[in-house]
This record gives sequence, C-alpha cells and structure tokens, in this order.
Amino acid sequence: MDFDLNADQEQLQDAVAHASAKYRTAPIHPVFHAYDTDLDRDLGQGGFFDVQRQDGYGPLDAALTVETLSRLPRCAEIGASLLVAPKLLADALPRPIALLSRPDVAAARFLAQAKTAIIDAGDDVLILDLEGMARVETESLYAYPFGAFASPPDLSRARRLGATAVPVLRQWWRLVIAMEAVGALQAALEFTVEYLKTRRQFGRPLGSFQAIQHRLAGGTALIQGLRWQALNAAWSQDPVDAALAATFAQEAAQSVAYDLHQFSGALGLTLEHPLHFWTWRLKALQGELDALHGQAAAAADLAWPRRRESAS
Amino acid sequence: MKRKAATPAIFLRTPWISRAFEAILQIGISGGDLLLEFGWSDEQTATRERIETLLATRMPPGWEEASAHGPGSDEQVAYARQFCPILGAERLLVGHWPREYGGDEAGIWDQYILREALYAIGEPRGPQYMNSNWIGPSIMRYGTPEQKAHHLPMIAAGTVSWCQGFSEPSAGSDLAALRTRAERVGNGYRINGSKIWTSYSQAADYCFLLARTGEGKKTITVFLLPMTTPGIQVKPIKALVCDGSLNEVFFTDVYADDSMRLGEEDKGWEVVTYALAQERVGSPKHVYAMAMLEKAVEHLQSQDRFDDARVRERAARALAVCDAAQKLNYRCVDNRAKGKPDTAENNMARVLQSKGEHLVSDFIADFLPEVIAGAALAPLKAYVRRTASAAIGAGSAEIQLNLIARNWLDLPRGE
Repeated sequence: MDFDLNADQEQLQDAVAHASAKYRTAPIHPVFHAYDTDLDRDLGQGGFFDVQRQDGYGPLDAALTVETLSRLPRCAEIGASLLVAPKLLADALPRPIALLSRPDVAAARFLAQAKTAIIDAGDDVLILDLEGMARVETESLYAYPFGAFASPPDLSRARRLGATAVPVLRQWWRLVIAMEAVGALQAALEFTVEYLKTRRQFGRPLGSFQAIQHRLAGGTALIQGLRWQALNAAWSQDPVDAALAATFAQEAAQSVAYDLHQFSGALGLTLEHPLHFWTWRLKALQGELDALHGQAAAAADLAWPRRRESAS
Repeated sequence: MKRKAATPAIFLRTPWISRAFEAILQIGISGGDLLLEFGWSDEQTATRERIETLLATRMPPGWEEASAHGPGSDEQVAYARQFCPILGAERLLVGHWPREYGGDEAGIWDQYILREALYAIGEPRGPQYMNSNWIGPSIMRYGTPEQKAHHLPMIAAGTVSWCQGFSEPSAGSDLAALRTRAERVGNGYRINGSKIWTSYSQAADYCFLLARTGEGKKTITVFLLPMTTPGIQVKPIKALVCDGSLNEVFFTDVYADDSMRLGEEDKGWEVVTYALAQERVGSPKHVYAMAMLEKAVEHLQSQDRFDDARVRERAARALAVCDAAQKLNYRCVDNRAKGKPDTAENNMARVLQSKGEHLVSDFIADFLPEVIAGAALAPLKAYVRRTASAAIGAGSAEIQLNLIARNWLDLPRGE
C-alpha cells in the first residue's frame, strides 16, 4: 500500500494540469454546455489520450488524468478515450468517442461531436465509425453536450468485439463515471467553499454556520472516500471494485450537488456562475448506465451469487 | 506494480509538455519505485495468512456464543482472557510494540492487518483491544520504570482488562469539562466523583482514569487505578447497546498513591491527547460491518430471499460505503506508517465508517426483521445492538464534522 503519487505520477498530473491551465476559467458567455474543441485539440496534441498506451503507464495513470481534467469547468470527451477504449482495443480509435448504453439510445454524451461510438448491444460490443452518419446535438440541460442519430444508424458497418467485451466495456465505463464524478465533485466543492468563506450574511461568513459546515464536511468525507475507492478500482482492475465505486459515485453526486446549489443560493442558479458546469455534469453521470440502481444491481451480481446451497 | 523507465516520446510534441516531461524521463532513469498502489507486499500477505491460520486453528471454542454478546459482557471478557494469551504467546497481541516490552516491532500496517483479521470475526480481543492500541503505548511514553514493569508484561500477555475513565455526566464530547477531582493528601490523592458510559468497567482490573487536579480547564491528571481500590463502585446501565457496554463508576474517597499517577501532576491533558491519537487511527469497524453484511446475505441466499432486486441493491449500497470507508482508512494508516501528521482524513474515515455501519444495521433490520424480533442469528442481533452507538462512541459524528470543517476545509469558526 502506498497512497502517495510517485514522482512520475505527480509529473504526469502536473503536465496534465499545465496543458489544461488556460481552460480553468468558465466559458465567458452564459451557456448550459459547450464542447471545447481547443481543449480537445491541446490534449490530443499533447498525447494525453494515449496515456494507457505508453510503456510503464496504466489505468491508474489514466484515471488520475481523468480526475484532473474533470475538475475543469470546460468540457471535452475524456473518459471514454482514456479509460474505456484502451481496454477494448490495442489500436487507438478516432475520437471523440461516445459511449452508448444500447444501439437505440435516445441521446448520448458527445454523440454529436464523436467520430466513434462504442455501443453496448447487450451481448456484444459494437465499434461504430461515425464518419458520414448524420447526428444532431440535442437540447440538453446537462453540462455535457448530448447528441442523437438523425436517423437509425447502420450497425452492419460496425466492428463487433463479441460477448466477452461486454463486461469489459461496463467495468471501465463505471470507472469513467466514478473518476469524472470525483473530479467534478472536488472542483464544485472547492469553488463553493471559497465562496462561502467570503459571502457574509448576518454579519458573518456563511461558511461559519455549523448547519452549512456539517453538510460540507459530510460531503467532503463522501468525496475523499470515493476518490480512494475509485483509484483503487483503477489499480485493481477488478469489476466488483469498479461497480462499487460507480454505485458510491452516483449516490454521493446526488447529495453533494444538491447541497452545493443550496448553499450558493440564487447566484448558483445563474448560468454566469460556473457551479452548474460541474453539478449538471454530475447529474448526467448520476443517470448513466441505469443510474444508482443499475450500478448497485451490477455490484450485487458481481459480488454475490443469487443463491447459495447452504448457509455457513 | 513496478514502473519501468518512462519513454513518453508521444508527449514531446509541444514545448510546454516537453518541459514537464523532462523530469519524468530523469525519474524513470533513476528508477523511483514508490508509487500510488493498493496492493499488499509479500511480507504483509504472509502476515495476514499467518494470522488467519492462527484464527482458524487456535481459537478457543465458544467464540460463536460469546460473539452474540457485547465486548464488555462477562462472556467476551472471559473469552478474551483465554484468547489474548494465545495471541500474546505468538507476539501478535502487541506486535507493534518494542521488543523490550513483549512486542515484535512490527509496522503500523502489520498492526492494521491484525485488526482487520480480528474485526472480520467480531474482534475476539473484547475490551483488550484498548490495551495494546493506546493504554500500553501511553504507559510506555509517560510511565515510570516501575509502572512499565508492572503493567506492560500483563498487557502483552493478554491477562488484564482495562476500562477508560473519561466521560462524565457533564463531560461527554467536551471532555475537558470533567469534574472528578483528585486532591493531594500526603503521598497520594483522594479521588471523588463519577464516570459514566464506562465500557467494560464491571469486569476491569484497572481504570485509566482522568481526574481534575487544578482549576484550569485542562488541569487534569491521569491515574492507573486498580479497580479493587476501596471506594470504587460500578453500576451497570441497562442499554440498547450490548451488556457491559455502559456503566456508571463512582469514586468515593478513593486513595491513589503517587505510584498510580501516570505522568506529571496537572499534565494529563497531554497524556490523553497522545492516547486518543493512538486510538483514532484505523479502527476497522467497517470490516466488521462487511462481515455482518456477508452473514446476512448468506442467510438470505440460503432461504432463496436474495433474488429480490431491492434487497440486492441495498446490500450493494451498504457494501459500497463500507468499501469506501476501508480505502480511506488505508489512506490514514499509510499516512501514519510514513510518520506524517494525522489529517482530517481520519475524521472522514470515521464518518464513512459510521454510515456503513448504519447501512448494514438497517439492511438487517429491513430484510431480516426476525433477527431483531427473535432469537435467530444472535451475532447479527448483537451487531444491530452495537451499531446503536456507531456514530456516538470515540468522538461523535458531529465532532468529526467540526474537525473536517476546520482542519480540511478551513472554514471560519462561528463568531
């Protein structure tokens, strides 16, 4: 056990932070969401989407990178490229990559921008090159851009990875949910805590009220627990660990995002305030892969058989 | 997982990244082998296997029955007096202590591995976990040669029970408000007052007692008081939590001579701060919760009652919280093992741990109500009773949250 990043890992995260430094400010115009093509380009040119394919680097480094980038108020497709695709295929796929929970899903994150779709077809995983396939960006409230096919896609063109790829896709998709949630939760909490230290009402900072402190502290415990749980799941590469992390992520996202908006008052309801860039991403993550009950059911299926011959 | 020298040529396409990665290349060449990783070393795995083998083969009979009672019950105190000497003979009971006091100078991680293995079966050390965790270390640090020679061998041998004379009717979370007073008389002290909630005291041989010796709020002194001293009376309190967990202890003109004082007079706050710091890190109660969850699930499976999606979902949600608590606990143990100062992550781990304990207890209550209503599965029933105090004992949840707000979030104090 060693819970400190080594110098390589720290340097990688420093480099990720450096590469993304100019994207730490929220978009200037009030928007629900926007795909940041400049961020996407800079990360791609830096080779950050290929972390897992580098000698000596693995899913843990990719997970840390997803965490760091998910702290940004700006948005590009990160998780699928860093954590899912490298586990399914040795060669890099055209990106951005959209993850689809079924072939006929109504809307999916990044589908309008994506060059590749990875589709969970139940008993198969399909890799669909989206070149020439018409898609539209949907009017999403979420702070990720969502898209849909303009007409049902021609799946006969898709590359089929077979049934054994299905659990792999779901395991690493769950880790994407957990790591993106970790990044967004931390950034949203830190932003709100700084606001509550300075915003004064009744002659004192709002952050000095115990009613607020206790909920922030409780949220902090959830986030830090989730962080180590999710990083452990990246390290262990165990599907049970990933399902537990996604379960806890979707549970924590719900309560923490609610509290942070509550404490930001009406200011947090405006689109000029950046809080929604994190919280409405968290809401999207909360509903992914059949939401909390889906993750918990998967975790239970992986952790426990339904019946046992005899009780011990 | 050992890292090879990094060759991140792909990262060198742009100058600003290239600068950052020059350092990586150098580190790769120098071969730093520390890194974030969650695995056990071969030595740690061997330690765990050794302990688990010992537990599988050397446990005295009767633990299943005793574990249906609380850690302060007569049954568990008696069981611990059989079991702890076995651990003691293997130098495991106080493995992390120095050799001169009967330990094996084992690392913090070995100590934690032992605790996890013991908590997974319900902590058969009963009240004696306190002895090795913080009472012994406090005596080592502040005790006289005579006190060390008297107490430490008994603790290391597993033959002695202690209780913790801290809380009082007017001093709970605000421990420094305690009123039990020790007055100077001749070469000793006359102690008057009372303690409350004192777990294990009805069966304890000694009390680690805090008493006021001056007027300042933290002017207190620690005594290592034999419970056979005249003037001590223990009254059990019937409670939701298990037998022996809650007692009142009355001190009426109890005479303690100077040899029973631990550390200097009036300097007990330092001693108790040290003692509590030993206690706070890495209590693996979440492992106990996971073991009880597993037992509940096994029982439901055996009766074909684990097919229901609601039941399965609730089990997984409880497991997810316990798992997060465990990983955060590992983080805290790692900090301690590296000699770093404790952080509010300890408090966060406690918060998650209590949440996990509550979820497991509620799982049992909701899906195995016969456990609470009747006599089935006595260890689960005892567990439900114990968890009534999950977020209260050893620093209430609200105190933990205050410390996180102050020490981690740096939020301003109320004005």
